[in-house]
Amino acid sequence: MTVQRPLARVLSRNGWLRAATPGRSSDGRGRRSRLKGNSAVALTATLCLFTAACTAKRMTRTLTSPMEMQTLDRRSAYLKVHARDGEVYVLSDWRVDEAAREISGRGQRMNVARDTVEEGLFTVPIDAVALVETNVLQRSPTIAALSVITGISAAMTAFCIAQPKACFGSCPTFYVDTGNGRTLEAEGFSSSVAPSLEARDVDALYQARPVGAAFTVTMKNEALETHVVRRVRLLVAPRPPEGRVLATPDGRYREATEIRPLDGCVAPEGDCLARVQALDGQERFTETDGSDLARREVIELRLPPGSPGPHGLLIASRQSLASTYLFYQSLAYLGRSAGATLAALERGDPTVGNALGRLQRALGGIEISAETADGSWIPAGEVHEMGPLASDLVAVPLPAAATGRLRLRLAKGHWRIDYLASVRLGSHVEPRAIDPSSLTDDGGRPVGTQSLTTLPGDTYSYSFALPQDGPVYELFLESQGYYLEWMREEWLAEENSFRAAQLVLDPAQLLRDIAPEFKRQEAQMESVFWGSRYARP
Amino acid sequence: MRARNVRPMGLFMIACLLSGCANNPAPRAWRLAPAEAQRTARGGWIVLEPLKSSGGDPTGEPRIEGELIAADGDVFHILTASGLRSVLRDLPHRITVVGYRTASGALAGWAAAGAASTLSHGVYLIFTAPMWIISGFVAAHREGRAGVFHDDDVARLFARFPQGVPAGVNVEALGALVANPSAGPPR
Repeated sequence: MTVQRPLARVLSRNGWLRAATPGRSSDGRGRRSRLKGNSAVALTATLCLFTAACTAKRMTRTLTSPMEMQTLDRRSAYLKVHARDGEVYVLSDWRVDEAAREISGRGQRMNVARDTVEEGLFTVPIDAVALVETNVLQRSPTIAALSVITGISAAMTAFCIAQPKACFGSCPTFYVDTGNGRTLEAEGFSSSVAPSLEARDVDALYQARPVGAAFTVTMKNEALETHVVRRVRLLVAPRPPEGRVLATPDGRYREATEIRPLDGCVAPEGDCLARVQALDGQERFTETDGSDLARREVIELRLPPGSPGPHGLLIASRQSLASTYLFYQSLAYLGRSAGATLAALERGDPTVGNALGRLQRALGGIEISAETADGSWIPAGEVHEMGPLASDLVAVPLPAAATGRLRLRLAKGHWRIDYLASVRLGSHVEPRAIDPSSLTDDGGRPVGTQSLTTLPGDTYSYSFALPQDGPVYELFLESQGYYLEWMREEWLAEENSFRAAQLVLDPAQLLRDIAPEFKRQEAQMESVFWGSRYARP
Repeated sequence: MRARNVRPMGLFMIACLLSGCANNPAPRAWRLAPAEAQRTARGGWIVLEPLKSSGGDPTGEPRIEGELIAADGDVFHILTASGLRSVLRDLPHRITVVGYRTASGALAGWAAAGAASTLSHGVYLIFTAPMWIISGFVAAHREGRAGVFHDDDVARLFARFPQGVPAGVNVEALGALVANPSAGPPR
């Protein structure tokens, strides 16, 4: 759930405009240096490969007696003829005439001290020869081994370069103990891609399993981004007996009891009930429409009979990678003008703001509508959880007149729904904020300030002291800050002023035009995305 | 690439280079590339380290090293910096003969650059970086040992007179050990 200032809200709802910080941003120098570094690595690798391939040779030396001249290895570029008197001939273009009992070739004759005494064409009688030496050079077998590894490695690199928009990127990630180890439970301020878009974000830690009074949250920067984290706090609210506390789309919190699985879930592909019956990572998801990224689909839901009012619909969802792709693709189309666009946005330019509003409406969130007794359908609310990493849970209050039949309307392929349930919503609660009792870096060293600037690979641990005054508490993670996306060199190649204009003037058409291209990459996008998380060696 | 990432890569590269160089005791000028070694008329560089017994500990006596002139039936003739030395092959020793130099450094550089490139692999780096590091170290180490031999019988292949000292040749009059045995440019 994201709580933002008005401008940020306009920008962020569909996630695609987590705009870049290109050009001469504060991290521009770092980025240029990084790109230069990458080029240096590529150049070094190429040089090493070339040098090694040319020079890594093995030499096989063989001595042959004059009686076995027929066994000479003809691949030897030079023939060293060791004469009985100690002199040696080093011959190229050599040949052996066994019938004439002669060896001939062009080269040098050297005395026993190995001073060159004569150069030119020589014919040496075999009878004057003690031994003949051949040396055959062959490519080292280790070249083949490293070539195979280079092929695998290059394929991996090429894969990421070919699909840079599928590579991991999105805000700080938060890991907590869920009883099954530390798992990713939240992502912070997904839409705050510039200082002016700094936002507060609250995510439910629904599956966290605190043990004792101490609770640790690990925060990581796993993307090619600079994260500015202003504050991280826990919000805790006492759970009702046999119930939970859930956030609602308006940013408030309510007690929730009688959480029950749905009775029915029918999507265009068929029965989807099994996919949404538990918060287990088994998500209901379909691919996007190949001709229009904004095309809607409808999912029909049925609440269990006798659901007491006031009802609510619990939804655990996250965005698919379509929004991430759209964001990166937008940056690519804007190319070198991305910085100017962002600046216009920060100045409150209505042209850009209006365009974003249109795109937001084109994509939308998950719209919930409820059937009433007279058969009509009325809107119940809309969910806009930001970010493709961790599902967040919200409870959407349903109208008192709802019959129990619900509809979800959403852009096809844009949402992953993990869990749907019926809940009875109780009174509003006001959670208590808890500041961290300590903050340490990945080396376990204490950090003196809450305000952090993190770079790819950085990890920090927040420790919180949970209240021990009786009730079980529901935990929410509140994070505040913004991040700076690193413009990537590969994207500049796709700068396209027509598409950039379309982005502003006719985003709905843009979503239709780029749908086929997205479709081609969609199947592999999820695995590439998760595989490209930044990790330190 | 941040300094923290570069450091292990640099250490890895240095380790690879050392693993290759550590096996080659010849002076730099005597480590001929294969292309030169196939044409040189001189012997390879030999190092004899006296041992207390066969396969035992070093005696502590100075090792004998220089150009291998001949490995006769019972004697190694070695042209050292101080003149010709003839050493009985029966005496316990550890032998090292440098036939040619290999490109272990280039392979190490190749592997190090490959390892550095895995920074673009995201989490797959967990698999690809060790793959590069292990294979790079093994490749550089094996390559470094390729032109170096520790076998008495192989030594003869790299002698100036592989047929043994020719009759009528006075090995005492072969001159001084040269600083650079390079065979000169290819012809």
